[in-house]
Amino acid sequence: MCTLIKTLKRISLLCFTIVLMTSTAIRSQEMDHSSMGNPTDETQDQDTMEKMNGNRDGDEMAVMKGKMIFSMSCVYCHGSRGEGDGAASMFLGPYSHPRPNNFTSGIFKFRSTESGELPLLSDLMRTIREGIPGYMPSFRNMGEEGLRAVALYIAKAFIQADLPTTTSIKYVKHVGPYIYSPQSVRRGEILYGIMKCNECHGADGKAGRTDLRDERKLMVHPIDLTRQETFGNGTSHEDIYRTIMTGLDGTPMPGYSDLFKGEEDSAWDLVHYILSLQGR
Amino acid sequence: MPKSPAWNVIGIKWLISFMPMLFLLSILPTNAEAIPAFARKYDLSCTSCHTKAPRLNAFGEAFHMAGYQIPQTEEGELREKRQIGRIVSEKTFLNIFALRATGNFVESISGGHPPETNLALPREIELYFAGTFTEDVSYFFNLSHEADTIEGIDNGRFEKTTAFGLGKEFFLMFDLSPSHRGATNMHEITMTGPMRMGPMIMVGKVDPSTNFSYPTNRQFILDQPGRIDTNNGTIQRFTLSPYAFSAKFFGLSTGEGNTIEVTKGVLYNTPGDFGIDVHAMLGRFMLQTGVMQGIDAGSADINEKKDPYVMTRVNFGSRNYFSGSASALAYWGNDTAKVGNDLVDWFRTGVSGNIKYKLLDLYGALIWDKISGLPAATASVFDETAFGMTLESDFILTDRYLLSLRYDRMDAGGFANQKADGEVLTLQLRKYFRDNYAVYLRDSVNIGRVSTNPLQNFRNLIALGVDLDF
Repeated sequence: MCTLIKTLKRISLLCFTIVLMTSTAIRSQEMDHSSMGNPTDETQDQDTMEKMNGNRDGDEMAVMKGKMIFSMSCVYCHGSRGEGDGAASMFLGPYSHPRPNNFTSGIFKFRSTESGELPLLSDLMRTIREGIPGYMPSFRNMGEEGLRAVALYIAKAFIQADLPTTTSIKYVKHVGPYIYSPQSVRRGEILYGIMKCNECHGADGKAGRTDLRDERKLMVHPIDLTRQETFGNGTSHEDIYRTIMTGLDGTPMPGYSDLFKGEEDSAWDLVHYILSLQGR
Repeated sequence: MPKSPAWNVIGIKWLISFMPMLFLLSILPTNAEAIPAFARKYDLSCTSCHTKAPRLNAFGEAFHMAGYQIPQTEEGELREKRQIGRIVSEKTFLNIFALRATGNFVESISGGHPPETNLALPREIELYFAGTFTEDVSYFFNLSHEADTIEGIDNGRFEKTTAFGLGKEFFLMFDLSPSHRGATNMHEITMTGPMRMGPMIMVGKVDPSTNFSYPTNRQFILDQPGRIDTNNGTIQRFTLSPYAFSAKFFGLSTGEGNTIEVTKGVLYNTPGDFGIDVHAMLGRFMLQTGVMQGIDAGSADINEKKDPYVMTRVNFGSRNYFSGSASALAYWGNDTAKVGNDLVDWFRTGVSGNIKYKLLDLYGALIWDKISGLPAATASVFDETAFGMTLESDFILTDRYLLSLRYDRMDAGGFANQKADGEVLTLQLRKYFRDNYAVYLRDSVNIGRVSTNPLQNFRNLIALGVDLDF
């Protein structure tokens, strides 16, 4: 008995020492690779930063802050390489969509830009600020400075490309003739059928299709349009309008900006119809 | 084969027990939704912080470490309204309140003396109140109703109690870290050096092992209450719990003279006792120290000596769906228990580890205990060392099923004429109807010796039960 205890004690202490040494080694290796993000070409990164927002010194400081915040708040889901493979990521969607985004893939669901394009810096900030109901907490309390820092760090370290500074999609404000009216809802209902929204979201908006997959081949459940708490890209009038126009890249939800080109105001009819499904 | 009348009675009881559960299951929706307090408060699903409740994933551990706050944010609740995400949150009771009900509906214990089949309601109902008073002060209060708990009384005897009151833990947590969260000056941020959290101070009735790689309180396989002879208070079968954390010594009593159950979680691995805990993270390393009042010492702590402890932990892995940690602890139970009428010191050392890879969660703890300061009269008949080991593997089979396998081993210490070793293997399958509602079927097999010793007095335990969080 005593021999067994002693042997186990030795083995466990040995294991613990090995783990300590290994983790220290891994840590120092990671520090080497990511001391300022994960740049492959320092000159290129500096240029990118300059183009992105002008104030180079300030942005470098912001990126450093962003890296620190990322490593304490975001790394658990998005992983230290921003590939969406953090330690906690798989538990969010063990066998179905969504998983934390892989920033290096260049695919972003939540944008104000055309489908297939990178997001604006403000898009990244909005997603971090608001979170994603059910899956990603809001970091609103981080403050605008912190949000910008994290967004800059993601852009520099993982996306490694120029983010667009404007969007070609025309956003019509929800004012004047485009406010809610029963007539607008009726027009939106017709659009809902014409655009075949019912094929995924169901005739009553309560979804139902189970054969859809995202870009990782994970099962996607179309959101239930009658329940606003399931709207990942936001629930305000503007959020829904933006989602219709841009789609959700990486999922089967396409963007309809082409369809509405020249008649962007008509998209408000569809927004109003969706809101009416929620009794709003 | 003809069924005996006894079997028929048991069969009817099983059926009666199943019916309300089947009814419940038939009316409950099966989609995953966020329910309990923090999930409500932050508009997140349970699995944002848990592998499956109550086990924490890496983000949940960071949330816990930050004093029940999203890391790098500050969100004290003294404000009239808080905006979290798109939700403007009034301070509602449901955002700080959670309820957990756990326990067996049906259990059958065979191979011991006497065999048992019991029907029961969930034995443990706990109410939690947790959140933040201010940016730097968090709270956790737990009210619980526990049925069939075995409590030690005097002279080696025990009694079964049902109690309602302040539960295993209630404490305040203070964040003493320099203000480096939120929208602080960027220059300050870059000057803060290695990433850190804390120091955090917990004061109250605490579970020190909450930051250990294998925390005592976060169990998928629930403790199975033991059995006593109510006529004379002798124990027939000990509570089945993770052996690594347990007392392990036969013949010990608390400073107040109450018998310590051999399988009761104690010292560093108590589910909750009075003390002060300080912990902080520096980079990947956590340092923890504190003092505990002693085993069930309460306000009548007779020896007035405190039990100091230290623990260190290192985290590793942050990509490829992989993470882990390793911890080592040392605890000095300073005159914390009695052998006969003499106070003795109780030293505990241990290591634990945890590896998570994709949907597999492996963890375990090896704990060594040593009693010193034994009176000369008992030194020759008292084994002063003991060892316990608990290893567990959990695997999320599908969105709805969790399979757990746990191995427990105890090389007990204590009086030679009382002590016996234990070895148990438990297999459990949980079916999650929602993320916060599971039923389980478990089978614990005594793979060691079966005898009338309370540690060995069963061969097989089958139980069907529920774990409900609201």
